[in-house]
Amino acid sequence: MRYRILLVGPLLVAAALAVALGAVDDPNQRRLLLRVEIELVKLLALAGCATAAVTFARGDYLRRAWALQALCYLLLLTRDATYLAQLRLGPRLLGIHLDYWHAALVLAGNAAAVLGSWRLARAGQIAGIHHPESRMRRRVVLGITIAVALAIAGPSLVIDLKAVLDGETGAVVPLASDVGDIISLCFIAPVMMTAIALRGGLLAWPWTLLTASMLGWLLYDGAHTLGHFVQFGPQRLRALGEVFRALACTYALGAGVAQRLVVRSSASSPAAPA
Amino acid sequence: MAEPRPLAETIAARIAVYLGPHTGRMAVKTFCERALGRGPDTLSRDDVPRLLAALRPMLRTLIGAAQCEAVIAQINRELER
Repeated sequence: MRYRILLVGPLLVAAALAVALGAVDDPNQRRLLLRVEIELVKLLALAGCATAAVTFARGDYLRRAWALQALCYLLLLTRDATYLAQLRLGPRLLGIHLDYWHAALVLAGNAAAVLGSWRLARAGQIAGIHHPESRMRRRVVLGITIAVALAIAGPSLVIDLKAVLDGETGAVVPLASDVGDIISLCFIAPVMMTAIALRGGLLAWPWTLLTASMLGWLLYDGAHTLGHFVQFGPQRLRALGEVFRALACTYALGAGVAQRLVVRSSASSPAAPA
Repeated sequence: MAEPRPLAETIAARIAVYLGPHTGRMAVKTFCERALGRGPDTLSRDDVPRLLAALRPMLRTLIGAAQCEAVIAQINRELER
């Protein structure tokens, strides 16, 4: 039951956000709503990943994976906090322009996300679990995932790469972010394969919810890419992106909580028929 | 009176709580062959510690060292019954 709540909860949050964004027309209220939503869902994701990380003991393989995911959200929240600091402290912090702080925090956050996703994606292989699908089918799924990741995050990468080549040094940060997104999105396939291999067991829950979170980020990037090609209206596009961000972050919360529930479950709970 | 469950089946059923029935069964088969050089049908009481030692890294990776030890202790309890 608890696991099902973790599965359905994010959908309800996303639906509530979509309704709220549709109902608020006033630009100031809308801006406030978005700001609160963005920070709140990132906080929830941070809480979920940190919860999973501290569930494991020092030296456990997944502790570092979850800690890196938590670090990513922490760094992104810190970056957001520097925007608020800018209003009070001015454009410099410790003598360094805040743009550089933002860039460093985003780059470090992306690096943490890539490393964390990489460790999560490798967990099945490290554990030596047997995949029910053939190697060929797994390769096909991986190929499709890479193609989808490139199709969704690729256009932004090309645009930002052109900007960097044209001498816009500020575009280095979004470029690095695009590269991080593409790499992280490619890890959806092995994480999903792990979830499939573990189906019927308690561990399928955190891995399924983690897959849902990664798919949420894929759709979030997709909403932004859509803006390059389709006249959808910036307000609607932003709302769509935020709904997917809320899904990604709340599923990260769910995955972390599910991971803790599984690891802390009683070892003597009724065994499944073999 | 019901027949006692084969050893491999008892172990597979316990780890299947976490890994699911397919992966639980396959893990016992794979690690039996790897650690003992034969299939799970031939598993005897004396083989159990070696099989559980072979399963340990997998369980540690997925559920952490503490829970892994709790599961292995539970398996030993079930096999003693």
